[in-house]
Amino acid sequence: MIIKAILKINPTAEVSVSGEDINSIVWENGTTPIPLADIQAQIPIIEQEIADEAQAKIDKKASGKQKLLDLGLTKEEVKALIGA
Amino acid sequence: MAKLIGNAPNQVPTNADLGKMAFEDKVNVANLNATGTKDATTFLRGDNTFAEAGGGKVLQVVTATDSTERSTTSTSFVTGSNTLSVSITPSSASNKIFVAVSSSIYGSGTFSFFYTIFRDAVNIGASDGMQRLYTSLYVPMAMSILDSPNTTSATTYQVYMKSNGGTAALNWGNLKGTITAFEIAG
Repeated sequence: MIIKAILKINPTAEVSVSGEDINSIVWENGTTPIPLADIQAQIPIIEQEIADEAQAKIDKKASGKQKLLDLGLTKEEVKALIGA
Repeated sequence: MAKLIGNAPNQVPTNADLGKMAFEDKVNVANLNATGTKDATTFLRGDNTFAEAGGGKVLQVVTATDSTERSTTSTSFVTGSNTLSVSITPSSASNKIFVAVSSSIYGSGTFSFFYTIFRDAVNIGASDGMQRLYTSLYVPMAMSILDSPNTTSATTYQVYMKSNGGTAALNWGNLKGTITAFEIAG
């Protein structure tokens, strides 16, 4: 999460992090440090993007399943195809 | 007790010697005419010498574990984990150090992720290390090497990693990684 937040601010940043400890950030190979407050501000945005991405996958699966049913496939046939 | 091996090459045993040899069913170690020190740590070799066991003996073992996920986007090798590190002091410069590492690793994106072992500041793997992961995968990782540090000074072995684009991770999911170093008699 921390590295994702950093890369959102600076896509070419070279950093190392231990766990999710924001105080463990090591700026590698001359990368200009980003203020911790700026990184922390990005974390809720990243979390929302991850949640949105997961929801989008669920929605697409449900949409695809409904389209298959609308085409006349039985529920059993749809389950055999997509496993749900 | 008869002397089984005499000082003279053609020594002829006396009748008394032969009598003793015929009736005794064992030979005490103290009676063996062999060189070297006879004690609980030595063995009698084929060349009639008492000596300690030879090369290959494990002299000491040090180990460390780490259960915190470590990640980097560095394009040059950096410390994968400060705690996945061991220090060992060889008792002889001719001894070898066998180092074994295990961890779960992860890489994000369509990139390559590299892992290696450093002896102090020296990469003892190839220029791109000892293990390479390509694309976003979660996989087990193991590395091992028989090193010849040629020193009797304290020597540190540590896991390093790098990426050529995405994020490389060690101890992924906070699973336990280990590093163990064995000093092997040379």
